Amino acid sequence: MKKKLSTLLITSLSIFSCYCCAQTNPASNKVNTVQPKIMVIPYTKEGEDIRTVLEADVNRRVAVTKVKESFDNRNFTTVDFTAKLKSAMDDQLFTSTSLTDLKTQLVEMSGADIYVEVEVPPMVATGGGNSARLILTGYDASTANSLSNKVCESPKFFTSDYGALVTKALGTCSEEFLNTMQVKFSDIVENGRSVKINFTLAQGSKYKFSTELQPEGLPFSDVLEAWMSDNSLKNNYHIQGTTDLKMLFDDVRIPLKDEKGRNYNPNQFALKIFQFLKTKGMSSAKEIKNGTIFITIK
Amino acid sequence: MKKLIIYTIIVQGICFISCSNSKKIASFPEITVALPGAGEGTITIRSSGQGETEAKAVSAAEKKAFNTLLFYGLPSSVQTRPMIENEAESKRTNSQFFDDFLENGEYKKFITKSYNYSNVQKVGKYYYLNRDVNINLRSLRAQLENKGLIRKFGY
Repeated sequence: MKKKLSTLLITSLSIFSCYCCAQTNPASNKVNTVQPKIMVIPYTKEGEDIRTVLEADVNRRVAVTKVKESFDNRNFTTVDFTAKLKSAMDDQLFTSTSLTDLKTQLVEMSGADIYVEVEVPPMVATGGGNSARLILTGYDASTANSLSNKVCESPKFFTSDYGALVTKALGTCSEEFLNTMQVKFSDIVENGRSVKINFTLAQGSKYKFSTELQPEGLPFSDVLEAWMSDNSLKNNYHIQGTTDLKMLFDDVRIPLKDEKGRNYNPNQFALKIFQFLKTKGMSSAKEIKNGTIFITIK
Repeated sequence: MKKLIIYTIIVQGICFISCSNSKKIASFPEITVALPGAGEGTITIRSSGQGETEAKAVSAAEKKAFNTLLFYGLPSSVQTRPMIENEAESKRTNSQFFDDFLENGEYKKFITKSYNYSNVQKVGKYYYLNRDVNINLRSLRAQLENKGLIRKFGY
């Protein structure tokens, strides 16, 4: 009897301690965070060379560095724009001489998921003092969806040190800029990350997007849409347009984790599309570039 | 007759107590606002508090500042959104943390400066005060992240 009682006591005590542990140990609710790659770049106007813009303008350098610093303060390491630019120049990776194209190429080449553009307009000088204004815009690199926008303005000071004014301006809004971005990240966790999917036909392909596929007898584009509806996260997708030769999904939400809790990426989604097309007797080629999936039907 | 006198005294007593209480509240408005010009990574909140002793009033003002910062955010500040999105859910799943943090004074670790903005007023048994509380926002966020109450930056 005594033995039974002591066993019962020990069991209930251990259950109780486990319960307490589950209640008090915050690590049990710990959420794994995937760190996207973020690059901070200066805003360039039409005709401005991104290669020299930073070297020529100390205020832009200050602004870019301060924005990077605010990411660092959240224990987040950004992709270094200047280092990437230098290494790209050394490797002669730029294929175009067009200045605007250069920025796109740099974003693509860096592998950044998100890029933040920092615009530094000229100093606002008034009789009551000078102030700096900054425009921060965060974009999803693959879909160009805006993630966070802020216009920051410094208080007015009687100083001509524009760098100091830029620092003051950033101090007023960098936290809020990151907070807004974090809200968008929470939405990504909830509703999936956004990818762009571009379906095209290879030269000489026997298919068109209006071709009726058997046994359903439905046009190919509708079959693809039905598949996307079933396989995008929470049926969340948007078609930009369909022609006989092209079909573009500009926003398809895919999960961050698979059923087993492992990281899920656009490459795995592209493979799923590839396998689906195979079941329809089609061969295709897939390519993933900067969060955009390119599928070419042969 | 005696009963009527006792009844009148009781009714008058109740009226007097309730009137004096409402007067106290009306003369001392509730405040929780962010002040401009806090240093980088910090936030200064002006908060009102009341208590039976001055120390309790100080503690009430500080707790109110943290409560607003954590669950409601402060307009026109660096933290306009709440730091913790779902108050009820978070308090339910992390009850031990909030007991330690707010009730057992853990929050004090994140106060860099705290001082009375106006003179302490004593009305009846209660002390009323307005306090400016400067909070180390950056380290508070880091603590909440480490405890798993909010997500780290990223998705």
